[in-house]
Amino acid sequence: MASNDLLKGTLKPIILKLLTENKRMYGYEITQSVKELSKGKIELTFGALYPILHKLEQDGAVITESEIINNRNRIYYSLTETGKNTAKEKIAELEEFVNTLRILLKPNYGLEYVLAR
Amino acid sequence: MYSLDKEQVEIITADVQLAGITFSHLPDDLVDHICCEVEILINEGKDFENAYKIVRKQVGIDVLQKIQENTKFLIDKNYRLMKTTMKISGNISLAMLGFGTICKIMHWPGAGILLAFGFLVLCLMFLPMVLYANYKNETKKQNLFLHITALIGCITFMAGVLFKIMHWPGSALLLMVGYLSLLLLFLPTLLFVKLKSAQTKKLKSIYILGIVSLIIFAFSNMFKMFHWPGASVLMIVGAVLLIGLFLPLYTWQMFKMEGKITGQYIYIVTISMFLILFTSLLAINVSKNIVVGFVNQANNTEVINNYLEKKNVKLLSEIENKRDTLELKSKAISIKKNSDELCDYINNVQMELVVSVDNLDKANAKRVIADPMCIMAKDNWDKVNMLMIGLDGNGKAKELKQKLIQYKSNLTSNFKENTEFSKYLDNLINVTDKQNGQFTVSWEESHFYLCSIIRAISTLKELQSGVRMAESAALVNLNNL
Repeated sequence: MASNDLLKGTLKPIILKLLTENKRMYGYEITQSVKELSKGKIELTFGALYPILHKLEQDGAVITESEIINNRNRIYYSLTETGKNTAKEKIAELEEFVNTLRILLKPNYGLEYVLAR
Repeated sequence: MYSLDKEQVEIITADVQLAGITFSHLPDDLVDHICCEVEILINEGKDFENAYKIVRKQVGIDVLQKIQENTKFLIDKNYRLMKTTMKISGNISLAMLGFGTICKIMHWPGAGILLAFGFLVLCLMFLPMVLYANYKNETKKQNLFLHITALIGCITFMAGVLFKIMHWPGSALLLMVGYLSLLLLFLPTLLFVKLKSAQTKKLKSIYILGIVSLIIFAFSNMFKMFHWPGASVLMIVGAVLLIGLFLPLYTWQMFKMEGKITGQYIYIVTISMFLILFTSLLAINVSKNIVVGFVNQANNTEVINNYLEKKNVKLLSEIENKRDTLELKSKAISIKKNSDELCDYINNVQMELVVSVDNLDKANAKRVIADPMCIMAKDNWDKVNMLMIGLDGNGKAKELKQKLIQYKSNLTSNFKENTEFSKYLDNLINVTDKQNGQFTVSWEESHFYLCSIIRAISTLKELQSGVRMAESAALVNLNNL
């Protein structure tokens, strides 16, 4: 399971990425697909999720629609045009970051190298 | 796939509402999310009650509130700004008040400025922010009146405390208005609101008990501050009700309901402790050593005074025998007469003090001021304050100062060309105001404000000493003419 410190900056791109691949999603669905895709290694708690979703909505990256399902209002989130652009940028940014991290963790710089010495 | 029915959804919705979640479509988000989690558990074979119990353990009221808080914090620029200012201003005012108090206790310069600014920041930034934030978080908006009364009451009360500490005029009025608006507006409104929200009868009676005892306690405070009778009885009743009855009952009830200690509970306990400490400190006693020191000083001065009085009588008779200039004689006699009158006046002030503090008759009072060890309430200061300073600053001390100035000018008029004598007189009987940093403390205040009776008696006897010495010097001067 990934630690919260590491996750902090990556949640927003992860949510955006999920939304680009699905037309619209509701909150619980997002947490579940993160759990499934990461095989339980990343848990997006709903405490972290909703503040980010509301922030994205306020920034105009997502819009919401409400639908009554099983006796309650379900709020669906979907990307706007600007949201799609933001998503591309954020995802590219995260990818680059991960690649950089990978370089830093290569054998000659990483843990194995330290242990081998 | 099981889906919750209407009633079950309503139970969850009610709980989210109870947590005070109101922001935008966040309640819908959270209700749906919790419903989904519960449905999953029901599908695994649990019944609704148990499933919801498990989910609630993970997402209790505090978690829900935290989510709303985080959301608001992330989105609302004003909210973020407000919270940050609240934190900063709260810390700044606390630091300033703390340092100000230390400076005041240690008599270092700058206490006044620190205290004044600390109170200003507290009253004008922190308190309004806190109340505004509280009001915004409140689910029911009709409690506006509660928040306004709390704001007005706190600000005027705090201003009153500041004015009192800084000896600025008008503190009594501010304190009175602050107390009354807290007592008669805020607390009853709070009671009303609490009663409306209380679910059980037991809780209702606990709230009534708590607020009634708070009102009694606050009234005792007010009585004490304004020197009205009955303060101590009220204080004991209020404190016993508050500590002995309300707090244990409330603790027990809260523990039973929530199963843990909440922030609100800690808040209430801290405030009660603060209240009780504050009031008890008002009634604190002066150390015995200091009292005995003043008694000794008063006794010594009394001996000197008796000696000087006899010496002056002797000097007067010398002048009368030696000289036969009528003018000199009448001058000497009028000096003696003036001095005797002033010393009698000061004696009367001492008598009045003793009479009001110990409830004595005149004969006993006379005996007691000759032997100050016999004063019962040696450390009483509030009656001294009432008599010498008074509520509006027109107490006996002011009259005494006028009389001393008059006496000095009468004496110097006898020796118009002798500047040395008037200088000597000014040193002997000094009635100038004191400069304390940037503030002036009047002679009356520096001698009799918050001053225990034993110190006041000692000070008055010293003044008599000064008068007698001045008389003596004047008579010697006349004799040498």
